[in-house]
Amino acid sequence: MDAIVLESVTKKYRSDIERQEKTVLDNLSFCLKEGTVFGFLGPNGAGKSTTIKILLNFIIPDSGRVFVNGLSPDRHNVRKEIGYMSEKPCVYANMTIGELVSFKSYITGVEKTFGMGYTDRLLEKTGLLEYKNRPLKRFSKGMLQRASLALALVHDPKILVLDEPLSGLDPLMRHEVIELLKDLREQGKTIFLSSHILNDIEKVCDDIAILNKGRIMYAGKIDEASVNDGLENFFVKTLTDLQ
Amino acid sequence: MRLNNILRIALLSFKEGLRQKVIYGVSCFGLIMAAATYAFIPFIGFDICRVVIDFMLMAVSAGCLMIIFFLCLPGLVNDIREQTVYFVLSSPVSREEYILGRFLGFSMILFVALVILNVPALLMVKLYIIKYPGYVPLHFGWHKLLLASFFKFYAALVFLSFVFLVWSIMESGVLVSIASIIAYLIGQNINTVKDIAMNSKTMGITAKNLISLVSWIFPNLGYFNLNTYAAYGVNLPEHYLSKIFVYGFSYMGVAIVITMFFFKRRDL
Repeated sequence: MDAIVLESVTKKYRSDIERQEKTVLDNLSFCLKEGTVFGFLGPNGAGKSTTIKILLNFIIPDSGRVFVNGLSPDRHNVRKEIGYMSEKPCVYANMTIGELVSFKSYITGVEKTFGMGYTDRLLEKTGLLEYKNRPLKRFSKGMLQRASLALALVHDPKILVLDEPLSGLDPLMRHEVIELLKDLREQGKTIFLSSHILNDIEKVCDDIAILNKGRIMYAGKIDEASVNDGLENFFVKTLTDLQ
Repeated sequence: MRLNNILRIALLSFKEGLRQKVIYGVSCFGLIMAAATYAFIPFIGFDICRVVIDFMLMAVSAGCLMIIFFLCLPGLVNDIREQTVYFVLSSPVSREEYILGRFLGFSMILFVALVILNVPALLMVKLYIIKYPGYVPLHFGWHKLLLASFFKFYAALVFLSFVFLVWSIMESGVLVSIASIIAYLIGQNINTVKDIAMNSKTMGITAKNLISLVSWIFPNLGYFNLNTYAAYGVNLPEHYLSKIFVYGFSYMGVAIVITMFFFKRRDL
């Protein structure tokens, strides 16, 4: 089964200042097979975050159909199978990571499945156990990224939607996260990954799509894209050829 | 809709709200009001206990209002601006459960504020009853004072539901604040304005209908003002308390349902 399917999705915004309608996603269609790691690339303002928000039902498309795990994203049960990490950590700053992980594990029911102590085991896996009772407002940027990743993994989801998971991380932490993503791929997880760091995309992704001005410019295997000059050159060439 | 989800979100909102320390500011406000009462009331030569009761109920009302404007409203606005709403809604939680959970969580904070504000308020009233026994109204009763205080909290809940409604429609935090302030002012005075309008022989039918419409749209907070009842123990009209309770509950219900309707269709 396809884990994620978008069919002719269009989204327009009306700018308050310009009073003009701007098309953010223009008849966007692609699908993502289960168990693949999919890199979603594009320049700033291409529509990557909008696409991700549509998958999570944060934004409602103007037209088109979206399926996640065979279901429409507006059915909230769909999100039991999705782990989401946003570009900017979206957490309640006065809460501790332990409390937020507990919240997620209760809401998703994993506490019942995996038993007491699950929170601690997950925090240990992401290197945050010693910070369990520290409010998130006292976390560094790298720690917040790790916390966001931990929250995405709480309920052992089948599908991970990660928006810039590697941004703001030091090289050591980036390496650890990439190894974690490879580990998750081995477990058969489907990973939808948006990133600007193309070197890291090459290390972990199976397929990629390049988005520009709301349209897919390229979709295919990463090996095919990077076979000649590497992914970065291919990315630049794709965008400049079509402008 | 799952009650467990709503309660979990309520608890999250409650904990997050308490840690923002606004409640400490409100507690200090309660103490300052009590101290001001102690300092200035002796200069009033008449109806001392009535003035003390009025003052203290005003402090409870103002304290609840501060919680709404400095904690609840910014909390809702920041949920969208800082995208903290994504944390909740990326879980298997419906947007309706989120709204109900947030409302319940904020209500719990308002209740804590009510309890905290009542402590110095009741102590002050007790102090003045002991100090000026001759000024104690004939039909004064502690249960009446507590009831009046409870309805200040209840009025705050009704107003909070209106704030939720406005927030679900407007994107700008500033506009939400302005609309809420206007609604509060209208809500406090609409009863008086409506009485004058309906009894006026010079006001046109259109103006009267408009005022009537406004009284339906905005929460009529004047209904919950039981200061005179608390201070003098005057009899309320028959079934008044149950009527205002039903009015408040109905208004909250309608406001929250409309909030859910708009929020469900909103891009976050």
